[in-house]
Amino acid sequence: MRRRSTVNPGQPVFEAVNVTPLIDVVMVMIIFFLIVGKLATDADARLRLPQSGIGTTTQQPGRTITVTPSGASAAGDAFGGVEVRLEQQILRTGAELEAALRAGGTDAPVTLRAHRDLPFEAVAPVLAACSRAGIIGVRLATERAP
Amino acid sequence: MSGPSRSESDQPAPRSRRRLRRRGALDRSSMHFGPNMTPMVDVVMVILVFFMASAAFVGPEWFLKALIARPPEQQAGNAGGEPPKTPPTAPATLSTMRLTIAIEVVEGRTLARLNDEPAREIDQILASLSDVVRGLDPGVIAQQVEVLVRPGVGVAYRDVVRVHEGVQKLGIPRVGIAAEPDRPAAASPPASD
Repeated sequence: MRRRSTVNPGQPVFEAVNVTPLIDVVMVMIIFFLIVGKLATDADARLRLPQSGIGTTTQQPGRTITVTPSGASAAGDAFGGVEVRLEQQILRTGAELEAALRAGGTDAPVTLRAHRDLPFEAVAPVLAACSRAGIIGVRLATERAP
Repeated sequence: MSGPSRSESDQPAPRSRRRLRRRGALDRSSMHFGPNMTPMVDVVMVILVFFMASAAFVGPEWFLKALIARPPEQQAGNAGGEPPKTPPTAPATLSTMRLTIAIEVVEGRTLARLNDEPAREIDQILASLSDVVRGLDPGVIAQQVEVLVRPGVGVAYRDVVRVHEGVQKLGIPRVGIAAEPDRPAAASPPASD
């Protein structure tokens, strides 16, 4: 009793705010968002861009064509062995891609994000569709080489 | 009951002394005001390190500008029927010095040919291209030299980008990529100028 009176004379003991429940909730939210973020970018996680030692970074908006490997086989005009997306829209044939590109106008720059291990004949139909849609050039997305 | 009493002391611990001890510990902890930030700092630290590491791992994308060379049937009379919108700067019209690099896979190795020269490794082709443009003025290179990359069937896209990057490193911004792979049947391109 004597010690208490010297340190805290007559005062009630200060109760610290218990942050343990807060930490618990925040931790659960973090894990939740990490998992959701991982699932949301899962489609792009398969995409390994080719490496380049030069290039430009740009903030200019535009449209993005993503070409990732898939197991599907080609028939007729369809893309073979790849999944082609314009933004989030999956396109099955070169004619569909051409129509979608034309519908959005051909003035905005187009970025081509293609997997590095794809053979060129899987990427060439995309370029051909761009060319038929009146697009004269694309930006090739690459990964910065170490 | 036997555990705590033995750990405190060897003599029979009176209740009053134990209470005093607990009070003393409480008093010491009550000298630190405010909430205990240590767990929060731990978590925030982990988040910070995670985002720093992931940002360093992913990195920003780089973009290479590439022109699309029109397939021959489009250049020749629009076999498709629908006329494409003719761009004001078509790749075929502006050049005074037009070079072609054909890439092909020969026995598992990726080789390249500059114009009609024999096929060699890509690095050697880029070196000889650098010899071709060495004496030229940078402005001339930027305006009047044009390189068309013609990958063949089976060439990996990464090698196409590698050639593209190597050409642009020489200061040649006008690099076109053929929109159609070279077929083995049409491996020898029609000799241009």
